[in-house]
Amino acid sequence: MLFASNIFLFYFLPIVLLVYYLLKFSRQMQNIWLFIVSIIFYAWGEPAFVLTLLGSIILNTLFSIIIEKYRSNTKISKIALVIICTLNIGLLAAFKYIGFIVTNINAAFGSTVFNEVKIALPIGISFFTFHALSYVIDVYRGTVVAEKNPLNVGLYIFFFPQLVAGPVLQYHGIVDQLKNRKSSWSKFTQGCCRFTFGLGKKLLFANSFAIVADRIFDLSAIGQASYNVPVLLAWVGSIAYTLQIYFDFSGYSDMAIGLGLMFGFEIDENFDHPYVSLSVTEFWRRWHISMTNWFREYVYFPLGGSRVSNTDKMVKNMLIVWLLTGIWHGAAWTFIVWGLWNFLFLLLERFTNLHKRKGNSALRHIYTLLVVNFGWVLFRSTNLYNAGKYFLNMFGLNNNGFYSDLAITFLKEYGVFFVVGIIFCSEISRGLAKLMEEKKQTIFSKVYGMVYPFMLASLFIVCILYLARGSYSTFIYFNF
Amino acid sequence: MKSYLNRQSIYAVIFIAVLFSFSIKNIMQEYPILSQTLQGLGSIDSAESLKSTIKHVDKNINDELLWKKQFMEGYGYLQVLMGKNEFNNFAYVKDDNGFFNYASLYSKSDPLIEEYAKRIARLKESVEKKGTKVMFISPPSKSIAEVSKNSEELEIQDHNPLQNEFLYDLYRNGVDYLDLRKPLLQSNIPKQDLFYKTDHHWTSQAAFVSFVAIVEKMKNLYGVDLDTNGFYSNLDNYSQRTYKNNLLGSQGRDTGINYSGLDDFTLIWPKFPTNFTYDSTDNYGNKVHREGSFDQSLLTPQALSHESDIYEVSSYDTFTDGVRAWNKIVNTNNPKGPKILMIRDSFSNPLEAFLSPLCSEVDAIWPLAKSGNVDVEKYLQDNEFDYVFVILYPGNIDGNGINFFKKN
Repeated sequence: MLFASNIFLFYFLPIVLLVYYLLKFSRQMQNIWLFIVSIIFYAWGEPAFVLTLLGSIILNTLFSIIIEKYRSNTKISKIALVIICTLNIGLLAAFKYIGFIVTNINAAFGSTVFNEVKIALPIGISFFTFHALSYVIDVYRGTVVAEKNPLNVGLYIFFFPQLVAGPVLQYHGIVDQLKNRKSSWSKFTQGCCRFTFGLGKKLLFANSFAIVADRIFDLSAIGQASYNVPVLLAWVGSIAYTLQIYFDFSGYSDMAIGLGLMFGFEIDENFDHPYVSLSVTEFWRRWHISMTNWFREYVYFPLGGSRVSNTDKMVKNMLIVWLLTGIWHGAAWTFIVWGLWNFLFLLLERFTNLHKRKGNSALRHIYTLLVVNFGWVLFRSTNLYNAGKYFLNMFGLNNNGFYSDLAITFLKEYGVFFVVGIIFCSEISRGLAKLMEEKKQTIFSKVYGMVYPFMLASLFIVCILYLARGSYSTFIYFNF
Repeated sequence: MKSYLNRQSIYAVIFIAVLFSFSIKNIMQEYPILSQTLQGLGSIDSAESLKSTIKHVDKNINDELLWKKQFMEGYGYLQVLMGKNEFNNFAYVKDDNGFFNYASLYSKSDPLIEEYAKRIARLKESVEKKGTKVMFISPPSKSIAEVSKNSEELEIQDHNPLQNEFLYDLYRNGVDYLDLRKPLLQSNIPKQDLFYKTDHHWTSQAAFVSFVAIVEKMKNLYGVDLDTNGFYSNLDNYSQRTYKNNLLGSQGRDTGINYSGLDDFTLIWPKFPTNFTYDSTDNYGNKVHREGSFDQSLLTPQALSHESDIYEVSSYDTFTDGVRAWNKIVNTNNPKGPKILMIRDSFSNPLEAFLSPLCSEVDAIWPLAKSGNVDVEKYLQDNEFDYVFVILYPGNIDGNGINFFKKN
């Protein structure tokens, strides 16, 4: 089920909220209710995989109990951890990577060594796996107690707001909230606002940028014989995708955080104005924060992180993390190269201390945006060949011209979204937000305070208009 | 911080009020339809049937959403405010004169185009022995010269290259054809009145000019003069009535009136006496039978009534009930006239009606019908005709529109 759908907004959400607050007398009952509706939420899109994922939850619960029980016997608990991690990763690999591996083996041998495998990818399996791994590793480390009740493990992994596209919650950060969270009117109101902002980001902005980006990337992919993409058009396409992926993913995160607040959960922020960053290092502190934190906590630090005896090890650790980051995003060479692309610039910045330098902020901002933008071209392209073609188009190296009427048309047709979208991504929006939160009451903040509820209500109504129309929609991170 | 919380509280109250009141009203409206759908789907005994049920429920919820039309109008209004000419991911492009067109950013050629021409040639060959003449009649699309103009680089779907190629392939395969672009552009009808703005169809006036062109072509090609003194081709012998802002075409129905506006619809019917029997099968298999004059048997003026839902019924469907899987018009006043079969799409609704007074019988088959399809090849074996006209708008020159006499 999608958040941005009629079934979710006008059936699922009101019923879930109503029953949830009717069960206010019992936290356990509320959790059972949330678990049941989370299964329905998932099954609505993928009924076939529900049993597999439920089976995985039971296995994770059992193994975590074993790990805890034999904590004094390191060997047994380690073996149990290895087995359950292998099972979790194996499940992910079976669904997500087996086809990719087989295709590449066949390509390497130039013949059909294995028959092509086509398995439907369960929605959100990458997020599901990360949650499961976080749980068992936290238990192994002893930072949390193994949960005897699979329902609580299930709710952590299956909780519908973050089930299919994150944020990636670490078990030790949420475990207390599963049982002892406090719902309040204040949290609820924040949740409503946050959810509406997210819905607006997704329905109005991400979907509009998606139309521009999808059209232009498709035009580039069909080849010059049918359409020659000029430089200007290629840049409009890449910028549109840069905006789309931000509004899509951060919009989804906003909705997830907002829904969490409605049920009393405080989910950590996942985005913090990433496009204002002055270095790639800073960008990754602001973009998909929960995923970066997960890799740092469960991969980078265990490998030794930066505090290793020599630079080679540090480079190796970073390389592993970014290879895994790329692979986690998808079973394709474009994602692997995208991971390496980020690794390259992060390494460069580490050696030059670029991210710590002061001054030249405009230049550093442009540098960061360009690196990120080129990265998104890799990320969006269906394969490396198409990515290469797209880069050639961007730099006029494909016998393509510079000017494009179509680019101007796209900018005109979607001008409102481009202007407002860029403002929302920039320092201006950060400045405005700061101004609103100032304790000192200015006329501006007073007026804003008065119009705020009606502005948000209008946004909600506009979102309903877009939903009712059934406009172009896709969630990028559903595929991961 | 306090005021921040207050404003959030006010919004939360609005959010909850809107969400719950709308959801309750919506569920009350949709529940009987959903319940009916679920009953119709039967039991859920596998993952596949569960998936199918979910799909149907989702579709029902989206299609039957409370105030859907009003919301669509609101959406259309927002698009107007933003000055947008592209609608819903390039489903449509509005040109400088407010005409809707299908968008196309690049042209794709159909490699089977010659095969479609050969299918018509095979049809011709199969009926030649019976003395039946076959002609392909090619109506234009809005992309004909001077109808749609775009100052922006929003490429509209240009059917002309495909139409030219297909007509050339027909010529090479020895099939007669009539290209209606020329007579329409040379007619006295202003270019802006050849097509509806909110629909891909031509206007009644354009269809009448095309009817005259067909009669003329039959005379030149086959030496059969159906209208010896030009009586039937003279528009003065027909009544005309224009219904202002009465037509919302299929493209307009998708975008809403706020965005598309409405078209005028002109109804044309004979002043001279006529007498027909009309039989048809609609897309659900229901049979219709009517008898009487042109307006009694071939027109369904309910579509023009203000009481009919403009979002559901198009005035264009006033002629011969709109496009049907099959219909038959028998002219009891002209039993010696020719017998014609039209293999056609919705462009022929008015054409079929205008041709009827000159014929003894006009049968029509719609190859694109989603249900109740008639097998063209069998129909030709079982029936005899003087003429078979294949009349397809350029957008339907493909494997779906020409799905008969495929290569064995």
